[in-house]
Formats: sequence, C-alpha cells, structure tokens
Amino acid sequence: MANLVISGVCALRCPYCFAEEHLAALKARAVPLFISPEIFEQRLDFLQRSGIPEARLIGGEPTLHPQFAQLVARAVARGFKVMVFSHGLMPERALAALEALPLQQCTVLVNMNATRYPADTARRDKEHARRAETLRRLGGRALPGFTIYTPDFDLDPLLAAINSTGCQQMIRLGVAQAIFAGHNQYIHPKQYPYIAHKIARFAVKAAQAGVTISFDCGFVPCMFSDADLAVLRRVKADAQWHCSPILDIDIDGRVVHCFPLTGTAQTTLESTADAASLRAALAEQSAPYRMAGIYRDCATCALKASGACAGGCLAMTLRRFQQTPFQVTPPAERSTV
Amino acid sequence: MTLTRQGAAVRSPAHLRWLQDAGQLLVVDEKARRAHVLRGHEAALWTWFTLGYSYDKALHLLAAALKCPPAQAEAALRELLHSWQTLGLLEEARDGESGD
Repeated sequence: MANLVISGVCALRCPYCFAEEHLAALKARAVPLFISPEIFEQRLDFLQRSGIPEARLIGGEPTLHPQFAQLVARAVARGFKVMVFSHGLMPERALAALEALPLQQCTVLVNMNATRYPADTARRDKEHARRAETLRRLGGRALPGFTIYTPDFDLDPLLAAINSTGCQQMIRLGVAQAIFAGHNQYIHPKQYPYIAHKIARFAVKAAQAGVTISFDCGFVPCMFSDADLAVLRRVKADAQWHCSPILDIDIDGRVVHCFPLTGTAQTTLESTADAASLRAALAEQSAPYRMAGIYRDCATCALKASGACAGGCLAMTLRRFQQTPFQVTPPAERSTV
Repeated sequence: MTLTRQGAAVRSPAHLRWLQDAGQLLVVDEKARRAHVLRGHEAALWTWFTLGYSYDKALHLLAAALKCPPAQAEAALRELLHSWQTLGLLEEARDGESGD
C-alpha cells in the first residue's frame, strides 16, 4: 500500500486536517502544486516494481488536479485499480471521469464530514447535499468515510445518505490524530473510551440497516469495554488496531510514514526503490518510539507486546515524549568514596 | 569510580527525548536511534534531574530510597552517572556550548 500525493491544493478548512502541516511544508519547499504527468508515470513505475496493484491518490484534494481525468485514465490503462481519497465536492470533470470507470477498478473514499465552513451549519448542510449527489453518481464506487474529531459526533446522517444513494454499504471510520508538529483538532486518548462506546452503539444501528463499519489506523482495543468489543465482533465490524508506515509519497519524491508524522520519519524515493525498502527505512527510524504507546500502560500490555495492537497512533505517542535538558554538577570526589 | 573529569558538570544531550511509562522510563536517543529503558531508582533519578534537582538533593533522596548511608548512595550515584555517560545519556558540559 502506498499513497501518491498528486495535488497540494484543497479548498476546504477541516479543523482536524492531517495534511495541513504537510501542505505548508510543500509550500515552504516551493514544490509544484500538482504532480506532472511524467512524474506520475514514475510513481506508477514504482507501484509496479513494488507489486502494488492499486494507485491510491491523495492530496490536498486529488480531484482538483487539472489533469485528474488523464492521470486516472493512465493508471487504469496500466492495469491499476484506482482509489481516490476525496472530500466529495469535486469538479464535474473529475466526477464524470470516476463515474465512467468500471466498478471493480475504482473506489472513492468520500470523507463525509470534510467542510469549508466548520462553524456554519447551513453551509455545511449544502455541502452534505452536494456530497450525497456525488455518492449517488458514483454508486458502488463510493465508500463513505467519517473522521471523528470531537466527542459529540453524529453518524446517523450517514446511514440516511448510504440508503438513499446506492454507495457501498460500509463506513470507514477514522479518529482524528494530532499532527506531530501541528495544531489540528483531534481526539485525546483520554476521550477514547467515550467515543468508543458511541461507536459500538452506532455499529448496532448500522448493522440493522445492513451497513458495516471499518476502522482506519490508530484505534486501540482498550478504548472499548469488553461488552463493546463483543458488540463489534457480533456485527462483524472490521476493527483493526494497527499503525505502520503507509507510505505517503510526495510530489517531489519525499516519502513520509503518514501525514500526521510530517516532520519526523521521512526518506526519499530513489529511482530503484520499492515499497518494501522505503517501509523498512521508515520503520527503522521510528523503531525506538514504537516501544511506547499512547498510554502509559502500553508498556506492560500483552496485546502490544504480541503485536496485536500497535499502541495507537505513533504521532500521538510522539507527543507524549518530553525534551527536558538538565545538567548535573557532582562535587569533586570526596575522600570517603 | 570517577567521571570523565572529577567534579565536571554533565548534561543530557539535546537529542534525547523521554517519557514516563507504567513501571519504566523510556529515553530515546534520536541521533543513535536507540531506546534506553530506565527502571527503579535509575528512573527516579532521571525524573529528579529533569525537575532541576541538584546533585546533593538527588543524593539525599537516593539515600532515602535505597535506605543506605550517604556514602554508599553517592558511590551508586557516581556509578550511575558514569554509566549514563557511557550510554550517551549524558555528556560533559562545556562552557559556551548549546548542548548538541
């Protein structure tokens, strides 16, 4: 799995945006805002030699790339499935291009609570209506996603949207993680048990509507009570407890573990590198920090020790570390020593 | 037991990050990409020093924690500081240097 950054542009202002630091870093490095067709071709070469069958396109908002349709067509022509991570408010030409792809070759993960107007309910409702139209046109190509960034989230509108649009009967849930060096809105691990119980209750409601939920990275099993974990198993939720280098490959070939870890582990895409070698390089950089987790008790947790749980999001773990320089001045050795 | 220079000040290098976990303290050396786990009185001493406690205050607390005479605690403390220096958790502090 590897994500290809094709656009450094997004018109929305999501309070939890993971890419904010990343996009600022692109700007600071004077990187072009959009990937060129030539460089995109090199990225497809990379996927091919890595044995990765899917081109996962991210941004910014990937559909804002002026040649989005051509890039997608090129990926499909070379035999890749295409996965697009979008806010769903895409230009008509991009939507038409995705709509025209065969179902089995295209998935569009539509972030259902992306917004340009975090504080304006009426405008957010308009965005929701437009996004529902995107789901309707994409049908089974569309996979709704939702990022939980505040404890008072409401997932019920998603069920209505799913049932009325014919998109996939699944919701990809993410929990907003703190960017290591940024200031985005996120869920603090102390709030996890509260949101976990809400998720479990919603999972039951979703299952009754024929909808399953799946987890993005960063969830931990200990946020759920035993009863809630039993519920997730019963409704066959795709619950995973992982955090590992996804590989986000930037327009200029810089490779990061993932957006929230911008400014920490990174490497460069060389012309012969494959995904396994890049992943190994990033894993080596972050290995010392992997001994810890988001909670103090991760140090003694059997699930973490066994690898069944990663200990939560590494970016969140990194924020637990302190840098407190100190100096000690021992006296000259005393004669009694 | 002697430090690099008798009575010389030592300090934690700027490339160290640390956190307190259940039952242990984890110190990460970002330069060497290595993690060190401190437990028991080692972890306590690290915490005391990060709180700005002086050598004498830390020594006093260590003697109380180990329930031993001050001279014995001092020997243990000097040995520990030496081992931290060997591991790269401490370095000699030189005047006018920033720490990394």
